[in-house]
Amino acid sequence: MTEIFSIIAQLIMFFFITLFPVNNISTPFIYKSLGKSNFFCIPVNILILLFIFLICSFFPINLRNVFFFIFVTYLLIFFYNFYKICNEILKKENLSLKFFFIAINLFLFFDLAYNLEIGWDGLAIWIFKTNNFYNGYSYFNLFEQEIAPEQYPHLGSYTWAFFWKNSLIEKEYFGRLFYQYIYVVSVFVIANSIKTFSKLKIIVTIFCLILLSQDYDNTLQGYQDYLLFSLLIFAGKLIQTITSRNNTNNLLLNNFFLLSVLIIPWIKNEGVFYSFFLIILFFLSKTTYLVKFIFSCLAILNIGLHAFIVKFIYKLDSLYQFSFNTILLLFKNFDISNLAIKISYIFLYLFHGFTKYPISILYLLGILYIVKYKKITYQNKFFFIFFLMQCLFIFGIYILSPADLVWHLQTSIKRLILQTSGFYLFISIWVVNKFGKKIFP
Amino acid sequence: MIAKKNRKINIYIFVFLIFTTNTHFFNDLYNLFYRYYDERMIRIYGNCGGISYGFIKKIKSNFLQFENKVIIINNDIFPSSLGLFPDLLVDKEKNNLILLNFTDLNKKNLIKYSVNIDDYKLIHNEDKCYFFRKK
Repeated sequence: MTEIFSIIAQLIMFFFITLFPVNNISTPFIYKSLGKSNFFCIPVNILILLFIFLICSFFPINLRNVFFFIFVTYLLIFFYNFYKICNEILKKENLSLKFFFIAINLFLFFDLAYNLEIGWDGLAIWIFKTNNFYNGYSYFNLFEQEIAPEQYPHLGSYTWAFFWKNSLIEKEYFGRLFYQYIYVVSVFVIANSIKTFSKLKIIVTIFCLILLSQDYDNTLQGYQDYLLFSLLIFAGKLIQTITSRNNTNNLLLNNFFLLSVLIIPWIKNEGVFYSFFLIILFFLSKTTYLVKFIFSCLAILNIGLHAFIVKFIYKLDSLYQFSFNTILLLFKNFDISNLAIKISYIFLYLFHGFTKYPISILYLLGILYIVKYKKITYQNKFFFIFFLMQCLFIFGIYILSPADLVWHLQTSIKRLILQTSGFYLFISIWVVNKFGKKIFP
Repeated sequence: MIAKKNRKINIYIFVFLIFTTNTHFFNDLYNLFYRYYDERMIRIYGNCGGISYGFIKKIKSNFLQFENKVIIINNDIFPSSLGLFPDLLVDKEKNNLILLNFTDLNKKNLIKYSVNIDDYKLIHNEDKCYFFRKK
């Protein structure tokens, strides 16, 4: 019984900690530029929280002290606006959505609490990084342990350790519950982006999205892929808002987008490439050249910092699991028939990945629609270009991979498909928003 | 109007019930209520077999109360069990040795792990799992 109450308390804590600093009471001007959506304020707060975690992870600060600092700050904001915030939470507006948000979170939390299994990578890599932070050490101590691959990023593990340490009964899985929470928030963000839908249709959409993207045997067992999935959805939503009318030069929105660009490389190695892609997309927006220049410099510095620490301070052999020597060797021994076999294998496993996570079929339909009917506009071209870059990325890494191709494809391609699938859903959302009344009367 | 509202409520209840069955909500709730954390962990990771969570937990609480260093060698291919115990560290001197999934403890089998079994004293054994201490 204690455990059940602790899980409910953990959900309340997640909700509280992601309710601030951005909301319609304490920061009404930001709320306005976020399209007056409460479900869009939570992702922005998550991005701010993860950025605080990223900075703290470089210092040996006790996780309880970090929590105390954040919690007390937010508590002060809460008590300052106590009545207004309570009224806002208890408002009848969006009641069904609020109810389902709590219910879905609890269902998934209980499911995780019973199925405690941590997947292979979770046990072999991520939990050791988590233990490092749980025991009060910093990012730099990870390089002394020689247990888990040191070149892997660490922000997901820090988040896991943070909420593990700051839970009522301090069980390991309480940290992983935050991954579930972010996942549910991201699904709500997608569903709420469909403007033509009623509340009931939104709830049915949420149900379908969870059904199509959640892999109950393998979900959130310490893997970081759902974190990337959710963060890319947040970035996608920011792109959608920035590119909509009157928001192109909104510095606040651009800064939130920058936060997502800075955070993503510290979740997983693939995040480095996604971060590059997002910056390329930012260059295509109508923002001023000065902002574009500053943002791209910051993003490159951020990626460079990771590379500098791994390659020059700790002198590890491989930066992103493969070295440039192996790539040069592959070019030297270039063989067209070998390349054709590799490409056919990649197509085969791509198809397998699509069936594993059927959510990808939803965005593929959207992409097919805009390509076939030539509906690539300013709003959806960003997602389409990201899709093309992701295709190049997938084929590139598997063609250049020094590991056994079939093993590499079997173990990773479906997760690569999942990571970005939420991001491309904005194309399907664009189609539904534009022609939704014809398709879903 | 009332019929339309009722239909809407019925759909909400229907979606809610599908969610509960899809996420095994009632089964999870029942299990959380009746099975403690350690019991659930043993059901997943085994007592002696695979990751052998139960055996290591037992060794930790009975024989390693004042020490936090141990070396765990698993004869089967599994990720290290050490990750599940954040307060345990790798014993580079190999004073405390846990062997998991060893059907026979012959010397040849252990040499590949740089362990000379003659240097150790058996403290506890369950099925294919052993806990040794250096003599």
